[in-house]
Amino acid sequence: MDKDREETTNKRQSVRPRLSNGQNRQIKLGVFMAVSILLLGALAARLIYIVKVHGTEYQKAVLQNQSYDSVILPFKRGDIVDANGTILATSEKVYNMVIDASVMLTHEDHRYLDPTLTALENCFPSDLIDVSSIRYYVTNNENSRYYVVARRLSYSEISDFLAVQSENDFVKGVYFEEEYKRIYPNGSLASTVLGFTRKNSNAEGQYGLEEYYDDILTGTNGREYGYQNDDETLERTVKAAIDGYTLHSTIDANTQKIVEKYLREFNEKYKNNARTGNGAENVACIIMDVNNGEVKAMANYPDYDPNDYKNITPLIGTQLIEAYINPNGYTEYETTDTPISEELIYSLSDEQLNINFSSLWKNYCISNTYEPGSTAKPFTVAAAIEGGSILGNEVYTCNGYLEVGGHKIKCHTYASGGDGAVSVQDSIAWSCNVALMKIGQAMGKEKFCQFQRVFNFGLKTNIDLAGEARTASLIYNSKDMLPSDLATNTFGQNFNVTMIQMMTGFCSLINGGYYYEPHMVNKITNASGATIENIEPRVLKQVISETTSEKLRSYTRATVMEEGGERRTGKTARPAGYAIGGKTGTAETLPRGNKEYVVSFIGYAPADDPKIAIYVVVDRPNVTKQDDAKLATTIARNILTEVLPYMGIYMTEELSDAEIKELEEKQLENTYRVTNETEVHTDVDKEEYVTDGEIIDSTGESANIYPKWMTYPVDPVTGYRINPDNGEKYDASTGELVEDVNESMGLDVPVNGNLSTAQRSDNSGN
Amino acid sequence: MAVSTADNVKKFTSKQLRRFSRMGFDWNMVLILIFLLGFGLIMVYSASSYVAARDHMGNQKYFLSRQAIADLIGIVGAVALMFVPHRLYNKVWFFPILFYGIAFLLPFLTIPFGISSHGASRWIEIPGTGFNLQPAEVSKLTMILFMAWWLNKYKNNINTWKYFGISMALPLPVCGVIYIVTDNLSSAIIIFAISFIMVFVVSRDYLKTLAVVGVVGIIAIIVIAYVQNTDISESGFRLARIYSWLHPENSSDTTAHQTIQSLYAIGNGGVWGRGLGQSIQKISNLPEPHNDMIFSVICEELGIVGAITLIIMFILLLSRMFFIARDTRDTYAFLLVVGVMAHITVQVVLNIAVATNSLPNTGVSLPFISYGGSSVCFLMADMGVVFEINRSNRAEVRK
Repeated sequence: MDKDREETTNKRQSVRPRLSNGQNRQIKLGVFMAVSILLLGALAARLIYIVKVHGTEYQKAVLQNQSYDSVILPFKRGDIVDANGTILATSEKVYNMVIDASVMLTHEDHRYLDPTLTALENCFPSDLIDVSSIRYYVTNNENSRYYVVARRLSYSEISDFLAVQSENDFVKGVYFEEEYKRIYPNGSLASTVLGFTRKNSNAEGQYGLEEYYDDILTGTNGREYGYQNDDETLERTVKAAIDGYTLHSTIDANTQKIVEKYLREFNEKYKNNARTGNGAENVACIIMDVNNGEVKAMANYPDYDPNDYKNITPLIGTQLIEAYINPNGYTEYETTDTPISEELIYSLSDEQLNINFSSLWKNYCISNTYEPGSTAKPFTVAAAIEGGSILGNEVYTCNGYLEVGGHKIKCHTYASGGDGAVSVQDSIAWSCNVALMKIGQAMGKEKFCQFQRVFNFGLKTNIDLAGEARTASLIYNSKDMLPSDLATNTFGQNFNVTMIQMMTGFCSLINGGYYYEPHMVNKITNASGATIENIEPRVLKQVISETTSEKLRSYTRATVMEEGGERRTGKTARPAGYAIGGKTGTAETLPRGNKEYVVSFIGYAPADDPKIAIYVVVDRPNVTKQDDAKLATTIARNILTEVLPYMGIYMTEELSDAEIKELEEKQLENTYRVTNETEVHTDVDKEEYVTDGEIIDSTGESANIYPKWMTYPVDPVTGYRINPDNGEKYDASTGELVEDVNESMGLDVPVNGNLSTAQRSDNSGN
Repeated sequence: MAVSTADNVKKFTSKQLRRFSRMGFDWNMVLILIFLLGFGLIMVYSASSYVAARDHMGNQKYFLSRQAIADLIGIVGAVALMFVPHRLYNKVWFFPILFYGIAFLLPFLTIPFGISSHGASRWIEIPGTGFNLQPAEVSKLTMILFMAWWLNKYKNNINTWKYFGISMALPLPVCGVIYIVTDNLSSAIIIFAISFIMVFVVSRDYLKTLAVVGVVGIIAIIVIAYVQNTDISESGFRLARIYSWLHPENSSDTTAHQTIQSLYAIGNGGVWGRGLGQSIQKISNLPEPHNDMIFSVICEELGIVGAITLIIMFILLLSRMFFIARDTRDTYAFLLVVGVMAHITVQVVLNIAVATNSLPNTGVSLPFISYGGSSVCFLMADMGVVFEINRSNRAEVRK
């Protein structure tokens, strides 16, 4: 009451207030408090207003914005490993730097901008991250939330920055997106077999295994996202990425290295020799397991580095390929006589470069066709014997040529007056065209063409590589075939093949007639190593009988070994210490008369127990006299000299002094073998060794020592090796002693009583 | 034996408590503060865990643990200040100069010791601790202390235009320094508003303070009119902020992004909210959900029910301080309590006003709730002073 009166007095005498200080400030405090509560009440009312009037609208807007909240977790593309587990292709996690300008500029004073840019400046080299351009971008795009500044940084490159970012609260608005980069640790090794991925990403395989097995190697991206559940609450879910499967290739990286070494050596030796450019337009080699169609090595030169597949260096020295429009209006490609020089390459348009690149990336062994030449002779002879047209004891007379259908078709001995009397074996060993033409005449064109199909000429081999050429239109139908066509076909001219067709067919001639589907991959495993699929060798057909095959083995052996006589054509292919069989080929290319040739050698080793086959093709070697099969046999010999000991195939032939000396020299550089042996020794040094008696040469000394368990017979039911003395079981591949499950558990019944014995043995066989 | 010991403990504690309460311990205010700090920690954790995990190597509790440490430091500081007689601040002759000096000069330290190497910075790095100090928060406290001294000294002259003018001009240099050196307009506004309220409560008439309100209002209208009629694309971000405040829907993809997202959050929360931890907006649309925009997250997760409960808690806190201020015997203590009240009120009002787009977007933290070590430490220091004043009030009553 008292206070009220005082207040009214105050109002009346407003000019000179009479309130005490204490009373005045109580009133003022009350006013302040009232205004505060009023303001807060107004804000509460405003909240209610927002929810009542705009609630639904804003709620919708939030739900529509959900797409922000989803992060892709990339899968890892599957590895490609060789037969020994060596990684040929793998994927490495890399990081893309993303700038979120709106976060950097969150506050009105831009308090995060400078510390963040300074941290970027300190943690990254200036050629990688240009801080001033980031500053420009951020200040001009203040609502940008996603701006990629740098791609594919490794973890070590970004780790400094991550450390700074976690320590300093003011470093904001930079984050890293994960990605995978395809890596080929061995550079150009097996490049045309492997292929590459587009932009070295983790998808879109191009060429080779990468393309053929693209869907196997490709996994599924994962996703981290938020969503509304039934109660309209936000749930965060991580759907993990599924990594791609790993391919286990049949390729042996060491064999592949040896092969590529000699192809490269050939190129080094002959490049810029008769003309400018590479040592040959193409030089290629396949090594295949004769008895199951597994490709052990497949290479061609020129090749490229799949890590940097757009590098122009490998193009230099190749023949320029130009596109032109043919009279029918289709684009065709033509290999010109111009070699690509360093000057020329910079004048090429992107389109021209792409044409030449796509030729470079092709795998010569499967994508290019050519006339095989005399390497086709064993096929003709095999067909004639198998078809009953000849018995094998015929003797033909060659006087240098044969007149067929009005054409005078020459033998390579035309100048010296012919081979004279030629047996069937000699026809192959000496490579007599006349004898072959006569054998062809004995068969007739129907039978010849029928056997060409038996040997799969004109058909794809269905090897598991992308880009196998179609050859259906490149061989003859019997109804279109003229006598002269038949004659030239018998010795491998006038029809085209791919290397893989020749190789696969040749293996079937040698191995008893079994035509295996050639393959590059024998196992597919998932990211954690579990087997998804085993790709077993597949016999497609039996093309000839074992007796015919045996004859072919002896004929081709005679081509290389002493029994073929002095005129044998393949003697230069024999590696020191080994007996091998084979056949050379020298095919004239189109147009005839250009003195351009494809020379080749196809062979197998060892001669008495074929294990591997080798095929070397030199396409238009860079020499003045191209029709010299020695160019191919030398490569084959060099490769076999190193590959056979590496594969643990023992020498059977006596060595001359010169050969011993050569091997001693080679041994020095034959490092693959040495390292392999040491590994074997350290791994199983406690085991008992037996010595095989077949050794002749000191070079194979340690290869013949192997653990005793390997001599034990394999139990067909369990798949284990069993010691005949005490019944102990060993794992057939690792040699580990296997505990007998049933015995150790003290049970007499099978673990799964529902399975019959047969089923169980099936399972163990898998 | 055991029973009697327990009894002793019981007796002892209750005796202690009684003594403590006799010392002027305002239990109501303690409970309110515990509620606010605890609620703040929960909301900082909820709002920041996603951002923390993203930016700090998966450590979801990064901001929570830092805030908890700051809270503890603040509590220790408040308890310490509770035993420092407030008259001490007024007794030593150079203290007022020191307070003003700190408020004016501390922001300059951001130039050599600031977080960023060049340009403006609001923080000073405290070496070896990993924590940073925001000088503006220190300035707020020392300006309250200085203005209380000044207004107490000239309380009888304040009604003249001269002293009123001087009093209103005194905070301006500090505001200017904070705005220009640390580029922190909101703290400058807060300091001016605190000073203004302190002048208001001691001055005897309403005319002069209404005149100030009028001048500020006219300036605001002129700025709004200017923004409405000009192309703001060429002007600075502050004008752009005002434009986006006036037209949030037109500029939702530019400067109004934060504001409109905040409104979405409030709308999305509805009456009862989506539930604690269920905010969608905090994940990527509110850039720093644990900071100035924490009120939006509270609205989204706890609805307007939760938000209004929080507002009521602030009103209760203010009312406790209102009674403490009312009971003060000397004008100096009264001014100190009003200064603290003003500090909290202005920040709460500004923060919620920004979140609801009632004012243009400017970064103001929500007292005791928002993430920010300097802010919570100096607010707790404020509270320590208020607790001490309450004690001395009670002590005088007992006399």
